[in-house]
Amino acid sequence: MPGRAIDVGQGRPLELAARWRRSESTLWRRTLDGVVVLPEGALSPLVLRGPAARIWELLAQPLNVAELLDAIAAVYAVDGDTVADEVGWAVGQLADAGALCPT
Amino acid sequence: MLEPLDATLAALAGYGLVGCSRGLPGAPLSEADWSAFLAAATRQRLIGFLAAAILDEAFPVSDAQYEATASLHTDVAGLAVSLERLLLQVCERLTIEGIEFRVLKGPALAHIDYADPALRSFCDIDLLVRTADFGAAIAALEAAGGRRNVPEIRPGFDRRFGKGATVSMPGDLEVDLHRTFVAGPLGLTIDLEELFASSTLFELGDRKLEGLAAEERFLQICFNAGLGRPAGLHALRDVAQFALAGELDLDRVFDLAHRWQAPAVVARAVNLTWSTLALGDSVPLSAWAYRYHPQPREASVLRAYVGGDQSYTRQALAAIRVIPRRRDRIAYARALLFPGRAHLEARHTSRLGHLRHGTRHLHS
Repeated sequence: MPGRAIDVGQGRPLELAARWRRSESTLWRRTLDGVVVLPEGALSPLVLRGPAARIWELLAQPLNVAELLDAIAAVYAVDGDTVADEVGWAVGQLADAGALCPT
Repeated sequence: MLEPLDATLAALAGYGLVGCSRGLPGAPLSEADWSAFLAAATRQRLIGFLAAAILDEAFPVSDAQYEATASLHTDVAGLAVSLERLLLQVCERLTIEGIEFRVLKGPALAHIDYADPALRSFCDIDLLVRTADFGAAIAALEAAGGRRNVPEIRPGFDRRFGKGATVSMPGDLEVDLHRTFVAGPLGLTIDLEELFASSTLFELGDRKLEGLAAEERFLQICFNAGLGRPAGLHALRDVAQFALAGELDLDRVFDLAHRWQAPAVVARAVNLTWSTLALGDSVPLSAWAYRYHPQPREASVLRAYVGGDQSYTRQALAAIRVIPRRRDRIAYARALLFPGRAHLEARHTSRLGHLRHGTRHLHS
């Protein structure tokens, strides 16, 4: 698996072996249909629903992207490749916002 | 007997508590009832409990009602994390200035006393600082872009007699800076220094903050619930949350309450909680509250807050009776009778209007 990557948009690769965790300075709340997160320095909260909210919940413990893909695929009962783009994009967005950081 | 809408709100406030005998509806509310219910649940800061009950399938809703609740819950959560970010920024500034503080009410309760902070919503930040630090704390908030809503009634009043001040911060957020819990007599009999003798730590983001110690925190919410006009359901839930958790040192609660001349407030808060939420199980605290009969002096002080003709003027008169030194009593009365111009302007009144307002309350 080391070296394998998925595209998170704009040609940026996301290594499947990279481990991610929630940034400890990010404030967050569970909501009826998702999660609201406010990373340090962000101007306004981000609203996560669906797979993005699941990713946040799953990252209560650090996971690598491959593990995230497997978990999300199991939740939605689909093949990992089907959700790879969406998971990769969500992780990339959350990392860019400062809500997630690599371990 | 509560009206059906009020009974549903009370059931929601008691959601998840062991012994709450109020029932949630067995079928979705009609659209007409739902609108009124949702508005009231928002005012009573119960959206977190509504979301939890819907998620547990304990509160049946239509698809549209689910969507409306989810949207409101997202707004409430967004406000909560924005207020918490402000709290962290303010706390950092106070720490730099060497000002010790305790986080009061919503944010502290949400993180210390509830299993999921999403249950306990709040709409501002409440901080307690020492009397000697009050002016410096206001200055620190103003340096961070805040603006005190109403200027001090007269120079020196805050430090000697005031409850605190509300400061509007950038982003339409508010900080209530407290010197004591309430205005009037009951705010003057609390041992304020003792509130800083101990604390409960809680984590917020990557920081640790200090709330009041458990018994002091419980008494503070009793002031909220027992002196509310009317008592907010979220405040009654806070009281029940504490009382039923069984972790309070009741000897310490009663000792503090007696020294603060506040047993009647605690009894009222607990009795209101038990009757409104229809809590079936008696616990030592509720049994004590049920049997408690306030002394005439206590009852008189309580009436100044929650009597039918409650007013700031009556609270002020009751406060004068608990101020020990004659010189301080005169200073207190003079400040209330002749407030400074800036204070009156902020309240959109004149000295004559202020006096008329006060005397009208006394004659009523």
